[in-house]
Amino acid sequence: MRLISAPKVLFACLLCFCSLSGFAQEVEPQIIIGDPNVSSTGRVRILGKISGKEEGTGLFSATVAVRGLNIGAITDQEGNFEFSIAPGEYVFIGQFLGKKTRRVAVRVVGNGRFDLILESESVDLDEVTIEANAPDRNVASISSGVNKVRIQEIESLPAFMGEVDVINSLQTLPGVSTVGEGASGFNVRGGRTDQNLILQDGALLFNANHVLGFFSSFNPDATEAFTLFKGNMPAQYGGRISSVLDVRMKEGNSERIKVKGGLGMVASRLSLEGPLNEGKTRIMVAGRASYSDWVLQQSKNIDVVNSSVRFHDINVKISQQLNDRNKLTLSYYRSSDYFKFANDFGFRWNTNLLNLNWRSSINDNLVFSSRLVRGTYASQLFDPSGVDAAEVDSGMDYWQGNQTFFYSLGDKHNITFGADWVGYDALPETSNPIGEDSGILPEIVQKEKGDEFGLFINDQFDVNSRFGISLGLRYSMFSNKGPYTVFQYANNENKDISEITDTINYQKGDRIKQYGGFEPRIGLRYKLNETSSLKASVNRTRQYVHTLSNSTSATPTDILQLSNTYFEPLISNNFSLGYFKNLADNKWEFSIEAYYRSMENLLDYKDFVDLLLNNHLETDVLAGKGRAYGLELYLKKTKGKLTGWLSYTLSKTEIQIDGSSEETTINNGDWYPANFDRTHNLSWVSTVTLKGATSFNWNINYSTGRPINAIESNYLTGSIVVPHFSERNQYRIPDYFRVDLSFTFGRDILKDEIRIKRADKRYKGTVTIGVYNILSRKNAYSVYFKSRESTGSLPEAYRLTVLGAAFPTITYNFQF
Amino acid sequence: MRSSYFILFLFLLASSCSEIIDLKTDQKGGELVIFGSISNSTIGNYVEVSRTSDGGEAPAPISDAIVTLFNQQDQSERLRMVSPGKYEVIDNVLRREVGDQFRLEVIIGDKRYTSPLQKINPVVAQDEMSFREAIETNITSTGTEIEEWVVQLYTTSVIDPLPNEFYIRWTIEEAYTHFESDLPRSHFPRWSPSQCYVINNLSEQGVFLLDGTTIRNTELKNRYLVSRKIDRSFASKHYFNLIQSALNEESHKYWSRVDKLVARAGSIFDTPPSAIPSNIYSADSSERVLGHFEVIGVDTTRLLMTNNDIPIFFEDPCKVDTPTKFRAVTRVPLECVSCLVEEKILPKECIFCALTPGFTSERPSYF
Repeated sequence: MRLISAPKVLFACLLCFCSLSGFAQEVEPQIIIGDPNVSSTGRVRILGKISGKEEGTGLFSATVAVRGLNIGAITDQEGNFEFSIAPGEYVFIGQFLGKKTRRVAVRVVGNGRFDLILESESVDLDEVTIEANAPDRNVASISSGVNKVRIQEIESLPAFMGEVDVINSLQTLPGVSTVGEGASGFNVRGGRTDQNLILQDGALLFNANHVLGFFSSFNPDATEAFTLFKGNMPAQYGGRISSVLDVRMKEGNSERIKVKGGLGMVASRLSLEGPLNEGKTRIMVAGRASYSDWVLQQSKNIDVVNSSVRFHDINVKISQQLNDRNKLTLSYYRSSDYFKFANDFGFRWNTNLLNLNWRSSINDNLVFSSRLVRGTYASQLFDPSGVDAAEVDSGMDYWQGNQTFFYSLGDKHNITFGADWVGYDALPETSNPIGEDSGILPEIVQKEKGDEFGLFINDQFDVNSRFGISLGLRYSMFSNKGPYTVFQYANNENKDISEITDTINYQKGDRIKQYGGFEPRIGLRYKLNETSSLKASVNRTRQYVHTLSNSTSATPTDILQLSNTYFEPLISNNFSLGYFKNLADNKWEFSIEAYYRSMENLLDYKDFVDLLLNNHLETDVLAGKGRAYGLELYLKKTKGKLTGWLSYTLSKTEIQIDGSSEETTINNGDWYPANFDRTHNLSWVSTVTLKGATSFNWNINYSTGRPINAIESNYLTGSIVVPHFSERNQYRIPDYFRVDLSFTFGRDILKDEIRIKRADKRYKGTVTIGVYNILSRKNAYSVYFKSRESTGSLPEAYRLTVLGAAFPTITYNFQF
Repeated sequence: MRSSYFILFLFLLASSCSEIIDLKTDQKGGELVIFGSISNSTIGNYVEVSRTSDGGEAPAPISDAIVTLFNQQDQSERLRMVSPGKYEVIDNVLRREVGDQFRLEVIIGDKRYTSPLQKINPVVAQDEMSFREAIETNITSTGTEIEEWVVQLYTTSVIDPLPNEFYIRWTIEEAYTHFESDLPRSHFPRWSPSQCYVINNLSEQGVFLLDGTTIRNTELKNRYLVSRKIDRSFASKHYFNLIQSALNEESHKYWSRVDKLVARAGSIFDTPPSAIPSNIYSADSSERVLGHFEVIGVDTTRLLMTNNDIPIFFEDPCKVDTPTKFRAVTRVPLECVSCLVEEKILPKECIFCALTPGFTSERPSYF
């Protein structure tokens, strides 16, 4: 007997439900779809959008059905849908859980649009859970290793200083880890922090962190949802080998001006969105600023009192609906950070993005999106005092262009194809003295330019009800260009500054080196039954921008280095296999995935090298191989009073640098663990919904300590005890364990009579009270060694704890 | 929650903490360590030979090494062992002046260890020391905050003319006279307090380096060096010696690596530590040697401080100048000076000069 796919079954059920219930409901007056002056005889295409009145944006996974017929569609992430139907008179039913169902009489005479706005049902939220994703998406989607999260899902989770954070919440997902508390970036399936493609509305971000990594640069009020691709990366994404974090920012709603904001202990935010020009133009403006210095002032340590940390960011997004088929969006993003430690040193870094997007429906089946981005990332390291007082500037200017076509051959067959380009212009590294006492000479280290091109096609279709396939192919090409001076070495196997034999000067625009290659992206899904499936993916990815760092974790001033004569592109071959299972009517989602990744041209630094203002980096950085493998378990409860997820990752990430000489070899050429390798990583994130917006949340994290170099013996040089360290990453810091709790409440906790009186008020406020690290556990960020007073014995190991106490937080969020 | 508690919690953010942990490492020993320094002055001119120990113990000195210094003409001078594992230039056979080159050879059993030739570079900076009294706040191991008077030392260095390439390392040491307690004659009739000298290296607080290829000032003004707590050591003459060593590039690289290892605080900005390669090689290429051999030009600048420079009262724990102390001192059995230490009436250094860290009975020439 032929099995019917789960989505079809569900959709049929929904249609039946709509059809049956529709008879008893009021039908709105008839509207005409299509041009009455043009008669159509065959089937016509209905395009439309279902939006939420309160949200002002499209509703994902809403349904539109035709009463009495098994015809209809489910909306995509932006609330859009389409289906075909013969001309005639019908009742269209728009429905979304938690919204009032609308029934509209329609006369279809030709191709046309049917847009619907649904308003919230005044039902007790205890009884309704709004679903962000299709209920069986875990099983039915072809892609594996993809995590989609809507910002509402993380808004009430316990967060450091009460600030909801996209990147910190990612770290609770399987396969995602970080070097330490407050460290910049995240590591996905054995990838370094610079191997994640971070996109904000399709625009590239080089640094998505505030306060050195305690917060991410995504303002939660301006963020709609985010998707992390860690397994099967569709072919339209390229340029990084490990993962893609695609963050979608909000558009202004089309109904009315809305204000949303939050007051926190160290930062506050405010956003405003709404329609202009009778709803044809929509605008969203969001800003955030910190005032964390007052916390530092409480310290008794004079160095900390004299320190400063602050940031601000702003998002502006204007959308213009030109006509039924064309929409123009212009967005601007700016973020700025400042960090100073006493009078010793400090950082400044900022990002500017201008992003223009034109989306157009060429016909009913073909949509294109054109994007042009102008971005700048600039960072500065400064040392304000002493004879070496100086500021060192570096960064990247870039242009980004993208042309993507979406071609639909039916509900189950979509083709995406197009081209993209990134033009990199690495800013020269400059050093300038500060003050008259500085003896630093101004210095400029030249940096290259480069163009990265990509051509891609991705065809995703269901072969039959069980077998689905996503076939993607990307061809990427990188051209390294002048002006630049390339040193020639007597021995290319062991490059040394003393062995430079010649220099080649390339002029502006000269091509220095070119790389390129195909990147197949294949994803397969086989449904075992309606509630379980097997998925596999095979990917090749290439990366042409390296971030060079020899500090414990990424810092804002890490060197951005384009692939050139000596730094070949990173290449990664990624494989994954997973079993996906939904239980209890999709209330529970379960998955188990195994992955393996092999990496080529992975860079690691030589001991003690100084990467700043270094015009011969190839002599100080070594290239080798990497491999990462692991097993990820994920259990998520999506409905009910208790929701949340439990994730566990068992993994290993290793590097091998095996050069032709001792100088070009690390750890004798043996495989050694990467400094972010964590064997076990467990997270349990849950929310118990008590009443309305009132909820109790917790977040529990455990992970194995990361590898370090440790002291094995010591000796004296003069009067100084010199510790003798092990080979690279042979020991581990203690394991990490943290429990966070939070409690969110709004007007639902008020007495009934007050709550009812205030029920119609637009103003809604919630308070989140939380405790970060409630066990006050002194988790080690790193371990360092200090000599004892007695010069004879081994220096002692000290655990440095960044957040070694329980941190109470309170945040007030409001909207009206 | 009362706001004060709230603030207390918040302040913890600003005071990330560090504490000792037991990180189980292999603590392997057995590697040969050779550290040598040859200069154009009387300072330095020694080689220490030892072997790292298992279990984190102090390196074990090697006393049967043959340590020989060679100059560029391959003339040699054997160093004499002055204490276990420490060999010094005693005979002064070889001339050691600016421009002279030296290499080291150490033979242990049938194994030979050598360094490349290095030249004595000229001292290029004129140093001048100054001091300031200041109050510094420190937190004790029990978390108690204490304020104490200190002397902060500064230096101004003039480098004129400015060579194209130069590297400097400064070390700071103090030298002062130490007096044993003057005990009551009635109770200790045969006690004769002696005087000794103490020389302490203060450079353990950091490695002071200058890379003359990147810092190009002819005058380096008022650079902070170290802080020294004000105590009874300032009761009489107290010298601070600033020793300037003219290094070569290789030695500068070595000391800057040492600085990176000893000045670590475990922050995200720290470079991961690793073993420092040596410039001393074994004839057996598979054997690694630790340590360094440097050939340096040396100049010393001194700052003399006396009690008159310190207008601050400081307690002298060795003085028996109050009735209470007098009673305590005379309570012990007659002439039992060691009882004063055993019963913790006086610090051991007040009775036994030689127990003072940095003790020497030899009077420094500049005293």
